[in-house]
Amino acid sequence: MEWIIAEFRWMQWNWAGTVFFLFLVLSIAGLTLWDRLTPENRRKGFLPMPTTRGDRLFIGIMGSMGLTLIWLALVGNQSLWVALAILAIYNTVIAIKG
Amino acid sequence: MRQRPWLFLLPTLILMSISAFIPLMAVINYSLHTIFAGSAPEFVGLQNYADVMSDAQFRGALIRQLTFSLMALLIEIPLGVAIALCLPRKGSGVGLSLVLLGVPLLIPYNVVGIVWRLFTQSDIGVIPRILSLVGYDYNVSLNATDAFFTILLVDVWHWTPLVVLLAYAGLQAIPQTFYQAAEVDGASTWKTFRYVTLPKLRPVLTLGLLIRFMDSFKVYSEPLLLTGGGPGNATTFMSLFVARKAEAYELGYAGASSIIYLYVVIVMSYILFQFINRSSEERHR
Repeated sequence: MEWIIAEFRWMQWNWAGTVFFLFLVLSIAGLTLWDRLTPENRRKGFLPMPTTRGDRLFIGIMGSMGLTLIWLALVGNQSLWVALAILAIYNTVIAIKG
Repeated sequence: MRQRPWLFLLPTLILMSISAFIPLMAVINYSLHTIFAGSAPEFVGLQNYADVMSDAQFRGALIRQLTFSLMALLIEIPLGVAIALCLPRKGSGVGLSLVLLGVPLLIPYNVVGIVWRLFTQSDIGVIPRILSLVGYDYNVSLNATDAFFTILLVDVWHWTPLVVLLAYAGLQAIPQTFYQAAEVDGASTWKTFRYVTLPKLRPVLTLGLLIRFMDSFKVYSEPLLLTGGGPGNATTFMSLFVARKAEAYELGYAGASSIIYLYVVIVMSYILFQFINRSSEERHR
């Protein structure tokens, strides 16, 4: 374990990066498993095109990045919990109604 | 046995992970730190992103980059299709035409930059000389508009042949029966182009559009060698902006700006792809 940590130290691993990548890997793995258990066709919600669960996850992540950047530009690096709450609502709406 | 395709894919996936994902992960991790030479990196969370988003130079580079890519696409795609339509479909001239058109694509980026630097040099260049004959005082190192449009011209010269080759391949794949049917129906040349050629070219044009968008968004060597990003910041595009920050050893800031840069490329390509895909589906309905 020590050896692995020493070899990857150059990548500057930190808790925020680790949580982000774990979220991505677990989301993709979870969606793959979900799709194998209950396959879903594309469906049409309020988004302008029919989407799969994977499409909606992608749109959710990309939109979240955009909203975070807008937040950082307008408000700065503060009140990030408020931004996180907005992102949670946004992602829920995209996943359910998108 | 059903898993066998995955086993064959595994070496590629491992290679892709090492060559693409690990550097990307490292850049994302670096973007969350303040890093100076000789001192330990300090974790600062999203501060670098906040700094980048409030940097007027970054916003300027992004707007310049978007303008450049949009103009490059608006010129290169119609011009490429027009040239492809003018090329002979068969006969001895086909091979020669395609080889001649492909020559700019074979020239390395650095050579393109150096050649065009010689062309545009205010004292010995051929372009200032020609333009002075019509009374225009062209100076790529002093005039911001001249510099911007010269980089655009270089990009059009370098990459329109790619669109021509793609469009030509697409035109060759359209069965003659479509044109015969259009002729029987009495369709004009424009209507044949509009309702037969263009829809059939859509898949290759989509590919060309996406390749050219992503490539023009990454333009680096030409402005670096031709204008050095100047005069002022007139040709400091995104890639040059990020490279300068990395050269100045502002690795955290450079990491954050390159992730935003990558984000813009992904989002714009996705929107472009969805837009083209959607209009294509509507047409087939």
